[in-house]
Amino acid sequence: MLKNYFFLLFIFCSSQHGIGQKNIVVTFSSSDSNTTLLKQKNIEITKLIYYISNIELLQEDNKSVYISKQSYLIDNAINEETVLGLSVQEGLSYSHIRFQLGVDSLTNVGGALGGDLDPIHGMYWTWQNGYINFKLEGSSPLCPSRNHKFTYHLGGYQGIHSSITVVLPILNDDIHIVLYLDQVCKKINFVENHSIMSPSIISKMMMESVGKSFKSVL
Amino acid sequence: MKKAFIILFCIVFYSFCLSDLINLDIPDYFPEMTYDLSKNELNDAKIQLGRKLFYDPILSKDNTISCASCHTSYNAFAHTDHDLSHGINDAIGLRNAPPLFNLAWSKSFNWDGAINHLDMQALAPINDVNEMGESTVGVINKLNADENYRQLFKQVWKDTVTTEYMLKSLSQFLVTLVSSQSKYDAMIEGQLSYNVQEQNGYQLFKKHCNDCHTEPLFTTGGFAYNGLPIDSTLNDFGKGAITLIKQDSLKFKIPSLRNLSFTYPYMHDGRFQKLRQVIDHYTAIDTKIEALSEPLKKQIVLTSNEKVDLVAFLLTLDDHEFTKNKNHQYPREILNSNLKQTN
Repeated sequence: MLKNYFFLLFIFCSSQHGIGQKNIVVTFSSSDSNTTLLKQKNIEITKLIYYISNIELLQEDNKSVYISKQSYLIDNAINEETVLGLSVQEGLSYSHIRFQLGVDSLTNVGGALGGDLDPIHGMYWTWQNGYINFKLEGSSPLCPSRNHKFTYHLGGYQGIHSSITVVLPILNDDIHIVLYLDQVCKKINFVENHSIMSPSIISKMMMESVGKSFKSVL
Repeated sequence: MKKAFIILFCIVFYSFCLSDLINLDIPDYFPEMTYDLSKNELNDAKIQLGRKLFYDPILSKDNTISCASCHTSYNAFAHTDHDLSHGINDAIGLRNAPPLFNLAWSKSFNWDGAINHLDMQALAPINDVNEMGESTVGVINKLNADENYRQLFKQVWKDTVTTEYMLKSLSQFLVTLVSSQSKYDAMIEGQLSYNVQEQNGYQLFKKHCNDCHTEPLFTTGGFAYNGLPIDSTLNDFGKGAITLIKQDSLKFKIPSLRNLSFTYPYMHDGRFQKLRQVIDHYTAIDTKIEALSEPLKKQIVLTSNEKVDLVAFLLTLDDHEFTKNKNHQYPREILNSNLKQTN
């Protein structure tokens, strides 16, 4: 009896990962190489960590297929990259990738989780539950704070929903997505908002500007 | 013959279930649990690990404060006689430590509802500078460095110490803290009846209090502004500070009325020492306050005798079986066996 189960399990597993699946690599990196804004303005980035969840590919006919419903912690100090090895059903043609920047609200209320969602990664608020969707820390001479430091911890899943959806065109078989930090920093008012560590309208606005700073590259 | 087989099957099946079944003593008239046990199935070894963690000061920065420091089993896990609780270095917190029972029915935690799941609750005191002053990483590192805990997690969770397993173990212990053996419960079950005074108090309760402190848990689990003026030394705006919604300002979680004899002082900041003061507050509320929660906008009028009767009823919600339950107390036997192992 038990043997039969194993056999069924084997069939099930092989159908999941065997024939008909094609590997797809999604790479996330960050850059300021388009302009020299960060250098010009003496902006130093010391920490850049964020969550990417629910990655989908969009087909021509507006249908979509999930290639992952997980959340991934992307820890990208400047010019580093995170590579996600995923897979998709063969024979589909797709033109865009859609993903969530942050963690969805269901996951936020799902209790204790492990892996990338382990609160040990410092991406979880303990005084007011919820994941930090995006974290950017560093310094700018414009910040009137101690050591000119800025701290942006963007999150919130109730009242103010900070996670946002990003859609980008697919340019290559392997998808490469870059977060342009010069674009992010250009929109920040370092004088007035150097510390954001709880959900707010400003946090939500900043999240939206971060979402617009992702681009696909070849 | 057929019958015998069926009986035999039932016995085998029952004993199979029993081996892992944890009897939580949940009465029929309790609603369905909020906590999803299918995601964290109860198991005695996990409960005992959670219990050990609950009583272990290793969770605090300087290894002096455990969960039990502010939540003692003898007092329904409240911090009796402390308006605000104190953490490491005698730091004073913002609120009165609530009692712990029937948490599996709770939809949110903390007086302001900032915690959305029982699993995540422990991270709040662990990381709060005024409570345990630790960090999540710090605790996990300490537990992983401890031979005993490493072994226990390996035995119980088949893995190293992780945040998820630590939190789920604590939840398992907390889920077992069911308070359902008060005089009220015996009355509902028809095992005994109230005396005249208690019965009268029960009627008054149903008329004036049941909207928010709804039977049988004696809370809706919701939030309300009950007209308490803000304490300017604390400036605590409760749920409003979490949701940033104006209507939530000054709202606090509606606490259960079970075990009131043990959980004084009362209210979110422990401002009232006696139940009578609480009742006096509710009968003296200025019902014209706009932000007041709806049910309180109708003035509650009680005579002096009625107040006495109401208190008599409230005392029937004390659960002495719960406060005496040895399974909830300091796990002497576990710690002793640990000592033997380390020696």
